[in-house]
Amino acid sequence: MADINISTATFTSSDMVLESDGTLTLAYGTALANNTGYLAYQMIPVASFNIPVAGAGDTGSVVQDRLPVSMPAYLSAGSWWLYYSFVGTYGAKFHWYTYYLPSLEIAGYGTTLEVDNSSDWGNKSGSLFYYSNGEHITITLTTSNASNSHTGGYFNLHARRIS
Amino acid sequence: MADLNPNGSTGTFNLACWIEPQDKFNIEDMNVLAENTAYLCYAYTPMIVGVHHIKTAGGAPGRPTYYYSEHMASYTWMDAGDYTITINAGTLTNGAGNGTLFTGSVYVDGTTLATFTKELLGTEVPFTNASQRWIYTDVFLNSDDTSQEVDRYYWIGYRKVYP
Repeated sequence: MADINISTATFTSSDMVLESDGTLTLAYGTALANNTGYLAYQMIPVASFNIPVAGAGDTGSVVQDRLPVSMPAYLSAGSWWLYYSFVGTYGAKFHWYTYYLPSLEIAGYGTTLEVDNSSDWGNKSGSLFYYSNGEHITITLTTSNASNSHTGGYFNLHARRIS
Repeated sequence: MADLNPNGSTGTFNLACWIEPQDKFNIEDMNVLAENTAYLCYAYTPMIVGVHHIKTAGGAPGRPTYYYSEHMASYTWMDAGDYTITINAGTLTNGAGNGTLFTGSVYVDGTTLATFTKELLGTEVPFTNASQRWIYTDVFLNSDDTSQEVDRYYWIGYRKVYP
């Protein structure tokens, strides 16, 4: 028997409810197995966080004081693609001062992934390979520009199982 | 043979689908297994889940000073296909000025999906993605008042529409 390729498996809905006098076929079994593989490949939300852009006039709540932010999460054992994105937005009505996206660190069992955004602003997205031994991971957002800037934007992280 | 309904929104996951080694599986067992795969398709994957904090002060009505960006946005990696996007926006807190004069709007890939001034619960909008790519989702909160503050919580997510 061959393996299910979860990255290419499709979901079959037609003719999948058998009649009581029906006959199981190889095609039916294959479709059912592929349905499970398809579901295994769906995106799983891991973390999301909004760090609002703050103005200097908002004493005591400037964003740089809010970092680092540490978020624990858990990925079951196996290989994963992690999809992260940062979006820093001034909007149309708030666009002064200097801003930086936070940096991302994902630390888990024997692995640390880092995305250094310390000199960037705007949008940044990408994917990372991650192997989990079934341990918790810690997602940390930091900034190295706290002394002279504000840090902001929306961060999210999704995971997709590879195997 | 009948079809599965992976586009449904109500149903149950049937736990009674385990076959003991001494048993013989039958058509009903396989149908339960197939229906369970359809049930798992109901899940939504989040695109933006977070709190948007905004504060305005001073200026003339309709032209206040913004202490935070009125814009929050996110990228989500999505496969090609037809989707249903659900938009939910609640009000966590109302500060100065009652926070009642904000107009919210939600866009996906630059297309307006919803505008609202109060809570928005369970709105569903169709969306088609031609190819696998990062999808840009953004929300705006525009103030018509001179001084007010609000935290608005968003839950925007997608699920696949199956043929």
